[in-house]
Amino acid sequence: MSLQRRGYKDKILKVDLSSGGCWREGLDEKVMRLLLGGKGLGAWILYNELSPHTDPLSPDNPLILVVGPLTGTTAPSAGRFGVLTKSPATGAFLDSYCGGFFAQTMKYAGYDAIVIKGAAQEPKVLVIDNEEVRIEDGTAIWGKTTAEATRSLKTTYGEGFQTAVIGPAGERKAPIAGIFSDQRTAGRGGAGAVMGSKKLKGIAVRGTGTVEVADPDEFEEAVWIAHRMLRMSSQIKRLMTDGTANILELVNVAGALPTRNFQFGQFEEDEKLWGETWSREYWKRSIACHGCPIACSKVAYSKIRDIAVDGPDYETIFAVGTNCGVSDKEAIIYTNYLCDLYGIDTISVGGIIAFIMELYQRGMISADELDGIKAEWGSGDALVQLTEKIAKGEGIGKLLQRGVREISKNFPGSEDFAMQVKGLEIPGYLPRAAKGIGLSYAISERGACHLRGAPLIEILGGADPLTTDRKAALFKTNQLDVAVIDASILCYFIKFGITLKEVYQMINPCTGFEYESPKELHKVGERITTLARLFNVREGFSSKDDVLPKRSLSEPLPSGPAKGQVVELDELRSEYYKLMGWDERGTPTEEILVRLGLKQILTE
Amino acid sequence: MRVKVIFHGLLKKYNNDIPEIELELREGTTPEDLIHRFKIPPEEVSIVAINGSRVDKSTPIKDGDAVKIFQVVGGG
Repeated sequence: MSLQRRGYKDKILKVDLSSGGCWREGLDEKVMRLLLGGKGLGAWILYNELSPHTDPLSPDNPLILVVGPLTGTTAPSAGRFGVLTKSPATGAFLDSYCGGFFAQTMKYAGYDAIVIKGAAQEPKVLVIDNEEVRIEDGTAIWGKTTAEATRSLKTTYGEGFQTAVIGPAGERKAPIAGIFSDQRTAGRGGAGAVMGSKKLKGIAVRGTGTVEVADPDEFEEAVWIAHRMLRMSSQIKRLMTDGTANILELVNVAGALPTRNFQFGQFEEDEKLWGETWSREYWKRSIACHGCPIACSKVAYSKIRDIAVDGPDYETIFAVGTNCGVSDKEAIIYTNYLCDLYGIDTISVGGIIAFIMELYQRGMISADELDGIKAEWGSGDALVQLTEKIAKGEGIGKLLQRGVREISKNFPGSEDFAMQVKGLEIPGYLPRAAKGIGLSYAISERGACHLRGAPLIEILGGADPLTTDRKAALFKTNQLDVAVIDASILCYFIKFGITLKEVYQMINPCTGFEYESPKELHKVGERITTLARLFNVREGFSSKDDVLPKRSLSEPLPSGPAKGQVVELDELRSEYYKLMGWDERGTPTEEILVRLGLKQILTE
Repeated sequence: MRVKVIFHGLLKKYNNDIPEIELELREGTTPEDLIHRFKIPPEEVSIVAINGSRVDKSTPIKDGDAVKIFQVVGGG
């Protein structure tokens, strides 16, 4: 049976913005069986099409959009597309995912992947209307905010079009710029800067096709089971009622809520920022991505500014809230709003501002050097003012927008508390209070990330966060599971209701690949993770880059339930490499490449 | 010893929908004991805290402590 009747469209769209040309290629079934789709397909294309040591902002760096076999089917929470490229923030492998309504539209238009290479001379918009592909002039919307650009594209081309745009920050290639689709974003790692370097302001896609699956009856049954399990999950109910921030109180109680640039793990004003508090005081309604019964997104209406924002989510509340000592919810909402409009990653913005606040605390930077801004812990005003500078790239913002690692080069000694890994700012769980999560930050291919296998059960109950015993194995299992989710593509939140087994039960009747067991699917995850690793190794990354800042390694946590703790990273990392079959530098061995079946399909 | 017990989120249903209660307890009572006493299914509990900080379920409670039992959560 053709791949087109088995969850795929068997079509990769390739666009060259330099020449203005485009063409289509099919999928290789052998490869698809090994790598499934989504992250797997994207990693495969990226590895093959990008020469090592290419400047991420050069026309030769491809911007790859991907969907998975489940995209556009009735599978729950499958409304998500991936963006893969080489990151301008880290120089490493980047995969970033975005919800909303773009993913299934891209699939209905007939594509498994869209690969954008080259660069235009003038601003462009890529318009995809089913099989018809046009590169149109984007000058009229260049300079506009993400919201304005989105509205303009829908007005110009029609409401049936879904869009992915960059904001002004992406246009000026800030490494913290993301790609925005309606209210959702592929936020981390600077995918927006890559899009901006190609002078591509937006992509508008309309799709009126369908997605077929290999065995519709079996598929429908598996989907029904998945839906039922999601509906019965108490954890998912929490997400529905109080959004992603519903965990904030718990994280604080666990002593893992990053406070004041990761100096502490508990915030004394945490109650003001609990999910329940936001629900009571700010959130008026929920939004769901395509096909998702969870609807975790909440909409906050600012009382004083007459604006609405999708959020703030947990990561934003930690990053620009607790991590900056700020409990002012209006300031947090407005910061979120600015980040969305200008098109930047709130986690990185929060990390940058927290770092500046610590420099200020230590007298290493003055208000004069910050364009007059008094960067005091807890100051909502400072938070907003610094965000404006960063969002617009103005004044001190020109330096700040480049991220914590770049900023710290100007302040000798500050690397110890520059909370980043590989150039990506650290997300919302304190490593010293959750060591498996700490390990995942150090190892993740795209830099410090909480969405690449970080064992959140350390915080949410189910594993001892302070032991290193069997943590590497726990991380590896989670990491491989997540890779499967990113290949299918599903939203991570389904794992609060279903397991890899239920994913497997949908993947088989969808693709017809007849994987023998969930274990075989797990191997797909291992293959994808290894391939991403190979990309980084080829770019020069090794164990020396799988690190954490000194604060996490040798500054004992001063207080809280994890008082006195540091992360014993060396032993955790060694253990992980062994489990993965990598050598002591973190390079996958020949043996593992052969065993995974990767050696046979790699071109070198 | 006199102890305050707080039921997080939906767990209050195991205390007649009352989120907080003060109790007289025997010395050495643990959060685990309380979970049994209120007949809360263990799989519905994520973590427990004493006075705002996470503890192991077998930690002995002291006079004047506030013990909070957290339901399972998902998110991040």
